[in-house]
Amino acid sequence: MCVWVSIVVPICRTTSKGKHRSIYVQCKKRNRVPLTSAPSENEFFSHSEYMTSSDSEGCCNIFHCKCIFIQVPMDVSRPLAHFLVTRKTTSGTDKVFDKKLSLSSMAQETFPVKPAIENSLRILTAVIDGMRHWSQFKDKVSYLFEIFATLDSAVTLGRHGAKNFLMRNGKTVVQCVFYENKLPRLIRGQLHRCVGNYDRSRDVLMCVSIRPGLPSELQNAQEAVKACDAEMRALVKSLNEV
Amino acid sequence: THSWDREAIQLVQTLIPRETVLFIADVKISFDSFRNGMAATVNSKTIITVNPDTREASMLFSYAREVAESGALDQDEKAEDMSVDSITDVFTVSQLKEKAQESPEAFFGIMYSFISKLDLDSSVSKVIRTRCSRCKFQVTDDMQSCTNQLCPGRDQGLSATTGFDLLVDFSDHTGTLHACSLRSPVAEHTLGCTVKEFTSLTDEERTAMKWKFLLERCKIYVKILPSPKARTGIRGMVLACSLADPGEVKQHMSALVQ
Repeated sequence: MCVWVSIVVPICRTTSKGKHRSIYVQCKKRNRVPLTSAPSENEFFSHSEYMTSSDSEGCCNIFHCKCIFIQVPMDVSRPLAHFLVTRKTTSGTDKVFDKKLSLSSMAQETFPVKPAIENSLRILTAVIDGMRHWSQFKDKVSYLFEIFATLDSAVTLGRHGAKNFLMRNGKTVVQCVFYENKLPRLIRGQLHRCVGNYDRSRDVLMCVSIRPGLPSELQNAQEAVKACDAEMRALVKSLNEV
Repeated sequence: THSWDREAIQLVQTLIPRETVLFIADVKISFDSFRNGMAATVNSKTIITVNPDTREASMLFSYAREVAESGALDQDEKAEDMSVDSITDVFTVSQLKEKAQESPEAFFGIMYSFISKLDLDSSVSKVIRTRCSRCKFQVTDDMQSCTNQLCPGRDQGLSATTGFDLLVDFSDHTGTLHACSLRSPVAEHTLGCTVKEFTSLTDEERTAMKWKFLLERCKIYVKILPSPKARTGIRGMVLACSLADPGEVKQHMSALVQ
């Protein structure tokens, strides 16, 4: 059984000093291979790294790294470096990696990076049950909820200027609290729109915005809820994959 | 600069305007009679270093970014000249960000998002700014002339305009688009008042105006300028913004779940 050793060729750093240009390449085995170009002549530079280990079937991991440099000025398509990785086996030498790099190809060499999960604030339209369900991921992603529900209680005054009331979607009810100064006139039994932060530990929706809702908004909300649920399902799936 | 060199042309085509510093050595400078001015020409001796790691390059980059953000480089494209009727593509916030990553060119779109930041009730100096009409650098009314060294009109008296100059965030279920610029005259149409009227509002009236829009779903026409070096990767410019019609939003949402 033979083990692959691959050289990761993306340039990790370039420095310029006068007419000298140095290009540092990061190798996966964490060996830095300094490659320097001299200004006035073609230079043949050969650098070898030996890493030996043998295994039970007599194959060794040995690789050579041969680099050839071309003089600047830059010709973006002419080879700037040639990486040749060979592996010595019991039967001879295999070419493991053979790549010529030019400036134009270097620009395309990138690590395939897993896209980071979008972490900026989201605003989700949800029904009360949905809000309770999706809030379990609040430590990974930040969001506010928009709900359309019926005012199901009188508004009572609590401590620190809190206004408390209940909102209902069908059979589900949630406790809401509003701290801002100007609470608009809320009518019991009527449709309202709330936007706020759902506190899972206390099962309370901390509203930052509340107002009467329009019937046309409720119709739209159903479509919005579907779209948000789809987005959240995809998000949860990708969170589980990380 | 001019270049007939194919490789140099290919290199330059990959560079992003206003985001790239070039150190060009051994370039040929000569008088170009066609353009009636001095021109630099790239030849085989020329060395182009992209984004060199030097202090001057860093300073030049910062200056260019400042100028770009002041809007001075957008001289050719005035917001008021743009017709939003020709903009039809609808995007979510994440779709806008994805598209900006795909290509370095500016593009236009519509969003049906919530306004998640709109600081209308902070100090007026953060809402209304005075800028030099020629170079768009921020100035104060009492200045005799523009303080920007590179302003084309710095020899003449100051010509300044005062207008709304806000940074707004838009959020939907896919994320937030931070710090979009909302300026005059677009802001007047959105807020429904002039700069003068706004300055004479009370704090309470400003707060009420803010809550008319904050956390409400709006229909936003936006110009997106990809900016890889900006923290968020893109810059947005609001071309129009108004409270969204629920029927339109419903159509958009249905389309999303197809």
